Amino acid sequence: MTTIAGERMPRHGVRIIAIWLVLTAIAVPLIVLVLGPHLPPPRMSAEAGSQRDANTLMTALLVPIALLVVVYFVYSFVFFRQSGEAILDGPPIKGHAGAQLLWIVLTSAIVLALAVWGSYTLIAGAHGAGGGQGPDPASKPTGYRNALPVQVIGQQWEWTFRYPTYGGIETRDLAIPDHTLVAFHVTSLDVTHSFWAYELGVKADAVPGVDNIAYVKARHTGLFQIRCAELCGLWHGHMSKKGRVLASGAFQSWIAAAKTKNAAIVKYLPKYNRVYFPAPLRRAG
Amino acid sequence: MDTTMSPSTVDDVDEPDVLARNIRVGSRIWAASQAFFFLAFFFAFLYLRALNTNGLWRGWPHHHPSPSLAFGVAILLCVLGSAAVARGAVLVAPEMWRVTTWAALVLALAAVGLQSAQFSSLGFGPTDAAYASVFVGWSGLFALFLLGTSYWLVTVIGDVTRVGSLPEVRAAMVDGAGFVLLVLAGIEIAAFILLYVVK
Amino acid sequence: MSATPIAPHRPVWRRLIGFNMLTGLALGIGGWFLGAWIGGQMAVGHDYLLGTDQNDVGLYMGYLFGVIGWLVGLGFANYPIGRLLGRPPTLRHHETGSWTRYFRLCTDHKVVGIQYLFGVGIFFFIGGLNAMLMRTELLRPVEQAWPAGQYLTLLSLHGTMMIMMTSAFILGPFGNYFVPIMIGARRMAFPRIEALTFWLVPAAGLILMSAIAFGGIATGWTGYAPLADEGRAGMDAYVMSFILIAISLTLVGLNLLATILTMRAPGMSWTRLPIFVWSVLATSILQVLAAPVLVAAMAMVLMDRAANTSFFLASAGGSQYLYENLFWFFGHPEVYILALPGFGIVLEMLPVFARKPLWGYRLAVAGMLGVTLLSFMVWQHHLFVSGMNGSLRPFYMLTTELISIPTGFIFLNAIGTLWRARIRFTVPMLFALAFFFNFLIGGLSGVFLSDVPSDVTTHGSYFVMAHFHYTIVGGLVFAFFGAVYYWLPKMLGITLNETLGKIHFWLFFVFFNLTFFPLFAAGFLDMPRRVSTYAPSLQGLNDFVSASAYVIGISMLIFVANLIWSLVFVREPAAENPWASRGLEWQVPTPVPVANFDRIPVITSGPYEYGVPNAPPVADLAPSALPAAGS
Repeated sequence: MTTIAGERMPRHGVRIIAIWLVLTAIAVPLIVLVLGPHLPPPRMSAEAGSQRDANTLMTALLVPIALLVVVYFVYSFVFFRQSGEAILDGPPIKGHAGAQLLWIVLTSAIVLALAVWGSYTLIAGAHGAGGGQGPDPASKPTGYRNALPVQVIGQQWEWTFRYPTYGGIETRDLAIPDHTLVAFHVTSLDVTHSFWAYELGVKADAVPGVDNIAYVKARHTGLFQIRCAELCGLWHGHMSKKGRVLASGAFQSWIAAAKTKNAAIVKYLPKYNRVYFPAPLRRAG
Repeated sequence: MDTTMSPSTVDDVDEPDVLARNIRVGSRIWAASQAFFFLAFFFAFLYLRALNTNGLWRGWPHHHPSPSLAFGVAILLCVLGSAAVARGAVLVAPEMWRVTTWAALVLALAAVGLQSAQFSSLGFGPTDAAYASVFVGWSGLFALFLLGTSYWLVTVIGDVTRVGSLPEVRAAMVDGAGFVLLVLAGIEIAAFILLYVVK
Repeated sequence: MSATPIAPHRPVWRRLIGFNMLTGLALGIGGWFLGAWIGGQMAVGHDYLLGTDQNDVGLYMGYLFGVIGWLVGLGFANYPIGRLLGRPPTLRHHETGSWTRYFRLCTDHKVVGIQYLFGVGIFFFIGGLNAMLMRTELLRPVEQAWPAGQYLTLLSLHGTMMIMMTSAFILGPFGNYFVPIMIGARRMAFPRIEALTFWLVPAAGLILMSAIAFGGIATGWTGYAPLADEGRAGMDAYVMSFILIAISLTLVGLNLLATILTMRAPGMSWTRLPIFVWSVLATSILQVLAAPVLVAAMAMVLMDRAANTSFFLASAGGSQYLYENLFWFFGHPEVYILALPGFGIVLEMLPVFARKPLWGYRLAVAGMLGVTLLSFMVWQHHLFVSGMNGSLRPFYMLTTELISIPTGFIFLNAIGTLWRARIRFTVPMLFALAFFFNFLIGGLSGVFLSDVPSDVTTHGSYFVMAHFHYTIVGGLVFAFFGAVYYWLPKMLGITLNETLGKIHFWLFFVFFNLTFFPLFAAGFLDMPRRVSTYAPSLQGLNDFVSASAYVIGISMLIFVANLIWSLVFVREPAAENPWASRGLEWQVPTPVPVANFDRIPVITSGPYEYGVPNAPPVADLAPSALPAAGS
């Protein structure tokens, strides 16, 4: 303590803030303009778009916070270090009510703003943001009554898809029309899976006995990746395939072909239902 | 007993008040842990009942498990009696503790015995869907906890009977066991209401 | 000081006979076979058990009797039987004597602490080895090193082992060893329970590893239920070991909580309590309340598997959601059971090496207690896309983001403490500072997961995996190694080699970040967790990660070499207070006497009064009047 009294005190706080401001001024535009367009998921749907916006905004908000802490720590390592073997005490500062209050107010403000913004995008903006909302979605997009229902059935270790409005046919390929609101009804026949359509920004757990609904409206045609995002046993990693977003006309001809192909087997399928209860699952031998 | 213990390690005798306070505090923490354990079954009952997956909460359509109410009441009365006696002991003179703790022990063991008897003549099994699962799990584990607490009551009897044991420690043992049994009685009331009345 | 322990002069072979680890192992194995036979008898007539090639009842009974045999062999039955026969109550057992006390039931909290350090450490290295084997499989995007089932078992063992062992990582060794000394007590509140909590840990670890012999575990550490119900007999090992560990955690919490509440020395007011003890207090509250829920959830899995109940089987009226709720009601407090002791340790070390008082002591305490309270209200953020309670998602988003406020306090404490400090970059301080860097990234990446739209992308992906490795490895494990370098001179009385320590630190720190930071990108690029095969385009990334992970493994070997070198070969005795710390634990002699203090000390000052003019010493170790104990 005595050693500090004689020196001229550099304005540490001003320096730290200045370094931080410069770095932030460099980092934030880079994040928004350069990194942002590469953050997931690709904008194949409005829901995926809202997820990418969320990821971009949070990166742009959180990187400056991280920078502030890192700049402070590195600065303190350089200027507040004790060289040599001597063990000298620093100034006995035990706290500062104003600084503590400022910190609490600032972190609370950031956190509350994030929560309010997250809730807004979830409920009003993106209508569940592509996430599974359960059998009775809390946030329904306009026109959800006319949404095309597609049932996604997970079982060890395959995804199958049923189209109740097209005779309840079951396919191993997933195709949906573009610019059409689709309601994925995700369920499982055995254990828990999670239906993840990466480019569409859809993820919904496939839970036995539960009809888990996720809405999505594709913006353009193309392929999207389907994966399982919940460990479901031996071949969990193999539950992946490509789904297709087709133009409206192409979808109609695809489904008509699928219907014809299915005609022979559809009578053997269980009647279309929101959930299925196969015989109680017990251990295999 | 260990013969190699050096005198300096036996410092617990000179701090009986700390020993007593440990038992009081420890028993309350244990009671909280127990309560949270059964909170899981409380939640399971309400949750599975509300979800009623596949319409099978109460069992298969032709077979609704229904445990005998007489056994339920008898078990409830035994547990409540045991807790009342064990907890009421703090109100009576220390000379009575031996009798009260014995009574609490007998009642607790009676509850365990009644539970076993009920299980052997249940009329349904754990396989009979969700309610049966919760019933068997909750009642069975409750009896197990009661059995564990009975062992504790045995040690309390040992303490209150022994001439040489410290009065503060005796009081704490009686108090602690009584408190844990009181919380168990609260859990049993919840179990009775849910498993026998609400179903 | 107390009488020097008199070691009984008996030949070594004689010492091996009696109630010790060998007897425990023998009785444990015998008990296993007895239990398995009884379970076999119980299964007769039950088709669902005998119709398959695995009898779960037999396995559970085997494990149960095995554990009982293990505990009886260690001598845990002697005292209760003695009490029944009218022997007087005692608190302590086998506290003096030779090195053999480390291999049997011993109620000295310092012996238990060291038992924990090595016991948990061994399982930590087994878990780490599993990680190396996993990274070997992931060198190529197709199945190559291990068959898919073995890979799943590896990852489940890695996860379960690490979660189980790191839960006991701080409170086990350092909580047991230092909390009584730091609060001026001579022992823990319940020394016999304390010994029990440790000896359950090796039993749980061995049972968990026995899963390899019974078809492995296919569920990861979360053990999600319908999959757990159908899993092969290895799941029984998972269930049993998690029950044992959860019982151990509950009892550790109970013991430490009671100790801190009742056994503080005179003058040890709540505002003088070392911050590490505060973090132990907060963690203990979590363990006492959360771990029993895990026992209950595991008991339900056990009944589903062995008694054919249907808690989690939708076809028979159960629900998988029940498991997810119960598991995460334990699981999220568990996350803070892992994080809070780390906070405590780094805040304990910062003032010592910054030579300044802990800045904002009350704020740190408030932060830990705030985290404790909030951690019970956030569990459904693990289930944002599960389809349960969709309308409650904004609530869980809010509580999850709120918890970052008290967590942020810890950073403010560090910032304030470093301000105009006189930082000495010792090995423990390096680990403490790295903790803040890693936890910063871990914590901020958690904000992505707390936001539902972002979580829809990142849930179940490598992003989550990178996130919790940043908080658990980057946070807790770094704090653990900091504590090892900081406190080992007191615990073992030796000095660790500083150069090797710094090499260990830098390799670990640099390659930890090189391993886990790219995994955020893997998650963003749609790589799900727990897969043995992945998109070929991600091979370069995964190879880089695997190579970095191997270097972490090497850094751990350097640590082990350092420990063995310093402990066995060099044996350079440590100074009594090598860091010039004010902490009470540094004021007692090395090795710490069996009773810790001659007299119960009187605490005269806070532990962080560095630079405070005329600050009195932290405690009067030889108070003239015999003070009333406790209070």
